[in-house]
Amino acid sequence: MLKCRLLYRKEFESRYISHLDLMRVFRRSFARAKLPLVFSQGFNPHPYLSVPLPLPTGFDSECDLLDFDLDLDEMPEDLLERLNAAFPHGVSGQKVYLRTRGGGDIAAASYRVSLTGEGFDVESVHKLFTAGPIVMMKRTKRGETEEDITRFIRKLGVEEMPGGVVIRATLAAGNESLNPEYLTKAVQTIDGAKISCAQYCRTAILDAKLKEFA
Amino acid sequence: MENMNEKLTAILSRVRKPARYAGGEYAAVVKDKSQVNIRVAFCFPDSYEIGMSHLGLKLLYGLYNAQDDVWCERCFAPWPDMEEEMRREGVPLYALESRDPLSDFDIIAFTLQYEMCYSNVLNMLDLAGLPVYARDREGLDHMVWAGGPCAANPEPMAEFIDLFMIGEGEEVTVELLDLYRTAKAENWDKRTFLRKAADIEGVYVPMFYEPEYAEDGTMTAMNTIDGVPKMITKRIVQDFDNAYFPEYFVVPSTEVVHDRVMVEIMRGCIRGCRFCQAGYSCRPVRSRSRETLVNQVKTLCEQTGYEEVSLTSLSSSDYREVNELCRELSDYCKARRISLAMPSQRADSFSIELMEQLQEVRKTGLTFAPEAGTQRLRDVINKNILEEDIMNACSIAFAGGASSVKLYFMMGLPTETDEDLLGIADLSRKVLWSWRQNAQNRQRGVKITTSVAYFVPKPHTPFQWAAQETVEEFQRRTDLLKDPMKIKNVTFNWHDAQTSFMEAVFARGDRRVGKVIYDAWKNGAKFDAWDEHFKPERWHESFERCGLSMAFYANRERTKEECLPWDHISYGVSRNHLWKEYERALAGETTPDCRSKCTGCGALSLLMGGKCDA
Repeated sequence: MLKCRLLYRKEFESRYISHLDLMRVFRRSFARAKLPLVFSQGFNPHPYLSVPLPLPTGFDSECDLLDFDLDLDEMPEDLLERLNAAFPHGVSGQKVYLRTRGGGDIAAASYRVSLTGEGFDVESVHKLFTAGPIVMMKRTKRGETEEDITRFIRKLGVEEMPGGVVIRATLAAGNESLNPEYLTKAVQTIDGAKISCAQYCRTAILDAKLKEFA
Repeated sequence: MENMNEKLTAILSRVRKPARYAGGEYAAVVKDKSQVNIRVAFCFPDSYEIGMSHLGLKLLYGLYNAQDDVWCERCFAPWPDMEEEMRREGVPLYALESRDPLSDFDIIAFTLQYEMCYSNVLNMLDLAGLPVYARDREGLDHMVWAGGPCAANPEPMAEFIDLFMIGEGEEVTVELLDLYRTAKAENWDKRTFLRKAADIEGVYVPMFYEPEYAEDGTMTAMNTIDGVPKMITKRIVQDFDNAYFPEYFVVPSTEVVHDRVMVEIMRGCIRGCRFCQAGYSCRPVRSRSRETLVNQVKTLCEQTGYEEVSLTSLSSSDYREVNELCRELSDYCKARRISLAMPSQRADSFSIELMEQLQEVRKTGLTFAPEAGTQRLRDVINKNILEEDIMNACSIAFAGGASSVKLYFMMGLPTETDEDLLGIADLSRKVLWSWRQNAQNRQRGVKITTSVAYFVPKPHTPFQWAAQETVEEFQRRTDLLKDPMKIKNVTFNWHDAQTSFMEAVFARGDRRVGKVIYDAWKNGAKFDAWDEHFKPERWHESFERCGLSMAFYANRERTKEECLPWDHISYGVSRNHLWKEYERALAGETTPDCRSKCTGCGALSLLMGGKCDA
């Protein structure tokens, strides 16, 4: 048995595939690629397939991870090629390797948040995130609570783009996490700000030292 | 699609289940549009989840795209939240593969699977920015073709559709494309193309057919103009075993209703149930060879990666080599953790071997359709199943470990009495007793589901002359059954009577019903197949505004002499045969199945020198 990890991009049409649907897509992709997955024992066997940091529906990702166990002794040389031929458009494997660390080591993730609209600019957005606490209602597993969202921001930069701004942010992920949609909600509190389109792309998955998790 | 339309991106972030509108699924066909000559939008007038479950769509998608100069794409009805966003942002209805608006296409091909989707056809054309009436669309572009089971009576939709394909599509589609190619090359006008298309066997072009009515509202004649054929005879595939079947399916990235490999083991049915439109309109009976089927299953399992295979037909246990086929496939499937399913099994040919093979990988529930509660009424509809058969099948199933059984019945069948109805409760109770007697492990419990649908008389069946019971009477009968159906471990389900009433109106409607569909759509009708969107009052008001009676279409018995709106369409079975069967039904006489004795229905004449495989 091989304990493997796939680094893949999820973009274009495939950004709309929900986490649950993606699990089914992966299972069928492995079947199409004729790669034997290890199945659980029991009444209703299922393959071991896991995404350690699920991506919200509608987000792009340049760096998502899939953990899977192959019922093989050696990694086939053309494994990545076979998988890529079996994926729907927009899902593309970048590299496969034997995994050593567990998903519990994930502590942060970086995102590129592209906001188009009017009534805000680099300066006002930058000011918003450096001025002090931003208290918002935040959804957690236990319900809604008031939180200072800046507590979850590890790094943040703002750049200009045609028709709006790009926020590059590293946010807490894993056990305690912040969905980058809260950054958009915060921008909406700027007086006169109107956002017409918000696009999200995950650019890195990191550990507690903010080093790439692999 | 790398630089996706920004408007669409914004919309998709706001709607429910956006994967339905995104495209890009595995095996979706993408061609270079500068290299194709004919662009086809295959439209399914219901949601993505329903449409992507349909085998016919997969088959015709493959068939169109097998032609090098044709690019066929898919299009489904957007759910109302998506429609609202599209209309507000000015995004026209687009096909999934290229995201080009439907107005860019040469051919817009609808499949009409269910009468309650008619309002969606109009809505989709309108969302595409196209006029809904055929007469208002000019030129060879965006021509609207339609086919499918509802084409059995095309009249209610005749003013919206340019041409109908009657019967099986595999051969006639290719012939129509050939004609369209010539038309395009020689720059014909629309009328010239349609007139020549009307000469192709199985093609119905409504503009050349004009109905005539008597004062009492009944039809007196269907007049033809320009010398088109008086009778349109449905097309069939001459060599079913070698007919086109796709070697690939588009695999949805989101969950759909039937998400599995499907192969068609048989076309037609040997049984002759008198209520069943498919049973009469799909004749003669033809089967695929075991070898072909095994190859198709293997090819599609490898290509899709699906974990389930379904062997489809109108009555799968009537496939001659059903045991051998299942044995061969169950070995293949078991090794790959693929489960094998066979819907449409009959209680009188159910066996333990078959059940075991089908449940090798995953246990599924069993479904039987007695259709009526008493033998007398089962004889009227020619179901030819005895109570003994049903009890026998149930005892085998329960002894084999089954813990759920579904029973399907119909209410309001011709000659039905209250006694017949109460027979449904009796039979449900007997099935429960059978479980008590036969179950290996009674601790696990049992779930029996009895579902009752309201009978809808359909064209091209012996009951095409029969009256449907009124909505009030359906409700009385349902209420009558509610108390007796309070049985432990039995769940009683019934349909919405208003929906079945509308279905009956459309199924036997004439061309005048078209303006009602237009009026109701203008007043917001859409997704009528979905209870949450179906508003019966809206349809009642539209019928009133148009001066037409719904009861005239649904609740009236026709005489033998009456000219029926679909009499110019033939499915091969003679009108005389249907009438004779209607008379036998009313007399409670059964007709043996086609395998025991050929009834001489007339459908064999469709096969050139071939043989009905009943």
